[in-house]
Amino acid sequence: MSDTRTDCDRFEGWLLEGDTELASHEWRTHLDGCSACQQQWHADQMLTVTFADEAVPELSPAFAHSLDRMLVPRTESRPLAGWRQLAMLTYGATALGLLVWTLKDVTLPAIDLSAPWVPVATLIAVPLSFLVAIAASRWLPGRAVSRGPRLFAL
Amino acid sequence: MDDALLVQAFRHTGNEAHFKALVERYRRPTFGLILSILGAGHHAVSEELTQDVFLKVYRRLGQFRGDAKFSTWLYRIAYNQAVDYRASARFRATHCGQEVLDMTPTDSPRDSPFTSASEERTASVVKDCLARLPHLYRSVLHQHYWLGMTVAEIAETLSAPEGTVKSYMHRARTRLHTLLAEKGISDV
Repeated sequence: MSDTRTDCDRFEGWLLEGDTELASHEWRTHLDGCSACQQQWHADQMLTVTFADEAVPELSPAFAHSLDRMLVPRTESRPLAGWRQLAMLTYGATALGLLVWTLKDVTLPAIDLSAPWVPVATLIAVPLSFLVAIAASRWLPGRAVSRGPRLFAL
Repeated sequence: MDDALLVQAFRHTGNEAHFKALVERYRRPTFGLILSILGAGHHAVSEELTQDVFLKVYRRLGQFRGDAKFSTWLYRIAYNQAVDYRASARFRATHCGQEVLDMTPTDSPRDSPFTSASEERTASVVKDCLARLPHLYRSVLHQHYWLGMTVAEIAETLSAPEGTVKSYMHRARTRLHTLLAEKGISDV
């Protein structure tokens, strides 16, 4: 029994490696007395014949180029990483500190909301700050960007 | 440079060259794995899915913790992508495309038209039976008999030990034999 088992294992090993006609001839004796290996042999032969003339497809030469094109928009919106991210954060913190230091003793003049320049300034300031916020979001760490709204990819 | 270093370098610097090196290294085996699940005649869609896989990898590389090998993670994504596509309505609605018509031999140098027709019918039945096998079994048989991959190479794409792949092959051939017998093909 153990001999048969060993023969079956060896036979399957031979099937996987493929070999010469001579080896095939040698296995005939085993196949005549082993129905399990006959099934394996039959399926192996059917598969071999089926795929003998079947061309193995290759990726088209345009694959890399079209993948590059798909990656481009994301490349542009990729957040800064490493030292560049650190530099931007340092810059932001310094600018904020300077702003606070400058404004802490300043008394702002009273603004007359009915002045004609107020609506004009509002029209300019609101979209501008919106765009600046979008641009600034690119400096956030990658995970925050990936979890954020699609706005980040603009 | 090995995979882990390329991944790390890409995550830290954002340099596209590192990602492209990974694509260059893995695009063929990934394509082969997807093709082995979808089967012959799905060349074009396998290429599309391969691109989708690399896009997914690109987006998710930040989430890759490196607990497993990069290739294991990549092949898992590719395997799931192919299996999902196969289960989709889009796959079921697939018709015979131009690529298949182009591949059909019209004047193959066979011995006789009778032999040719008989062999083509047998091949067609075998492919039909392969399509009815579970994904894993179909994949190992396609990878070995069609794409000419060794057990070690298949084990790499399926992230399984070689002994397990051999076991899959054994079971797959047994199932195939049974299906072929049901179709009246029981001898070579």
